[in-house]
Amino acid sequence: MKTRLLMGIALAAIMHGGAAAGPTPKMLGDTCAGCHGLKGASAGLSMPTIAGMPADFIVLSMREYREGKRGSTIMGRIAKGYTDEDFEAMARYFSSQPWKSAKQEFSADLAKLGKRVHQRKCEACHRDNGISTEQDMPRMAGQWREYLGLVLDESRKRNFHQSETMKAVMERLSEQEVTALTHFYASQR
Amino acid sequence: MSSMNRRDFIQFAGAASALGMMGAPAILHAAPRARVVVVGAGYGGAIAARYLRMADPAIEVTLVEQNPKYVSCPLSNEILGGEGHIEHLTFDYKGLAAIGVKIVIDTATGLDPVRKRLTTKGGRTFDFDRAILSPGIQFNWGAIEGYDEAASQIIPHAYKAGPQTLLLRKQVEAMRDGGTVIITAPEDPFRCPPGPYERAAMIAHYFKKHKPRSKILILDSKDTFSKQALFKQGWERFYPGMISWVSGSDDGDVRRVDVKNRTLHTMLTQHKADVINIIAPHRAGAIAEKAGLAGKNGWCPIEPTTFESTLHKGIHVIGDSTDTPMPKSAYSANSQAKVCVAAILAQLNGEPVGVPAYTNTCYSLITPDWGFSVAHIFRHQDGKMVQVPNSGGVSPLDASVEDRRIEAIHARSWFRNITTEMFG
Repeated sequence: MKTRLLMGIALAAIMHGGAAAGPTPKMLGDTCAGCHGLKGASAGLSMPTIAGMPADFIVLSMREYREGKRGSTIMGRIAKGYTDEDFEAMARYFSSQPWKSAKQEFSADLAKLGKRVHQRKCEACHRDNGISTEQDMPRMAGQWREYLGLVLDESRKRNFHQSETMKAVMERLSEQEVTALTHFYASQR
Repeated sequence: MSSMNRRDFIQFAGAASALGMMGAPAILHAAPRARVVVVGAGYGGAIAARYLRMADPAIEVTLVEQNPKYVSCPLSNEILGGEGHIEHLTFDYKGLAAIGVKIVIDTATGLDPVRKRLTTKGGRTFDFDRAILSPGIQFNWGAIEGYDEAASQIIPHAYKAGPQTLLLRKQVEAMRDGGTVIITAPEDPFRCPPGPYERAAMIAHYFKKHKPRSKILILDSKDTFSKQALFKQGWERFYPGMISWVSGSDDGDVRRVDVKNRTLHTMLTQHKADVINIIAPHRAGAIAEKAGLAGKNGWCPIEPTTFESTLHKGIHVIGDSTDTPMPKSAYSANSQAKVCVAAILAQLNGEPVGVPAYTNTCYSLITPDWGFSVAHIFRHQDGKMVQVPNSGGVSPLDASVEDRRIEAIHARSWFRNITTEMFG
């Protein structure tokens, strides 16, 4: 996956060879900060922190938003304004910014239940209690609970901010399990 | 000097000579690398000040703002609907001061673009190498006959948040059930294009609960408005029969106000109301106009890669005051501030100005749980700001109830993010 994506980008770069350079990664990244927070560290409960996310995850997500493969309220419309090169530049910028865990409350009981759900259903990919970003996994630990709640709960019912693989997983979870998971990730900093 | 490496010194010296602002002795005395004065601590100015200081602490940034605290216009319509509190829209400048921005609470009254000097009402002067003006708007008093600043103390505009918002809220609260509120909306371009229509919805939200026999009439000078289909759908769904809108072609254009009798006159009709809200036409902020930066249409023409005035070099204008194809919104001001700062940094470093990117995102509410948005992505092309084809746009008309709810939640997260970015 990763190799194919990178090759695609390299190829696109060659095809565009000689064309005028686009905005810098920081210039593009700065346009996102009004909603995703300064340097991608979100202060808004329903908007995810994207600082420190894997570059390939950001590029893939943005492409899927643009192509309508990933449901959203606004991201699809925004993604249509950018090229693959822009996505790659944004991804370089945000992936090199430090992750900041959200300061938020959580229920210890729900977090405990959530940990069991995580270990059973999520840990295989979202390693290290959702901290790891290996294999281009988005970081879950320390992400905003409200954001996770909205996205995970909705994606049990429809294609919403998720890959197809995730949708299949989410369909098998109950609402209560999803809530518990969000408290678990909120408890991980 | 001691904290500077060789590369810094070369950039520093290059910048100094490029600007012709100070000789070598000044550098040796560790004078600031450049002095930038920012006027206005709103969605444009606060971001410009922060991004300058973040990029280079050797730049002296002075932020001149007339209000001791900043009150946000975005989300202030909710106050009119009885939701939220003005304290939650009010910010101080401590976070900016903490990163070394010099805060000056005073009104900028004069700007000499040739001598590069700003003067204030308080009698202070600030010499600068670069100025960034983000002064918002001023009203065209008298454009609606009888509507001037004194009249606005009785019939509020509530289009600069703060006491005006509270005045209108008080009038709406004091109104009898079965009364009428009239909102007048100006011609394009104006600040916050969906503002008047969201305002109608928010007041209706309050009426529905407390004064269900009341009506809201919007008298518009124009024939179409921002997010029109979404607003009409939302009004009809939640407030059927409560909100009426009259277009300019249907005699909605208000020409005169009789303040004493609370009566509005269009070309053919007079409208009496219990509460009137006149969103008067407006133009570039006073200081921009005084400095000679405004064009004939009242707005400031700028070069879009730098936001430098095309009328005076070294003076940059961002936000609502500018003459650009971007909507006059908070997010546009935020985005423009970043492009402007990047250009100033490049110029100070003697580097070519980079390729800009501009974005706008704006949420509107019909109820606290029913929101929608618009997005714009602009690019620089052949010297102009051009919207990227087939991108952005408004929320779909057939979006699910759940999506409307999520967009209302996003509206509040948007506010938290954008204001935290400004004020810390």
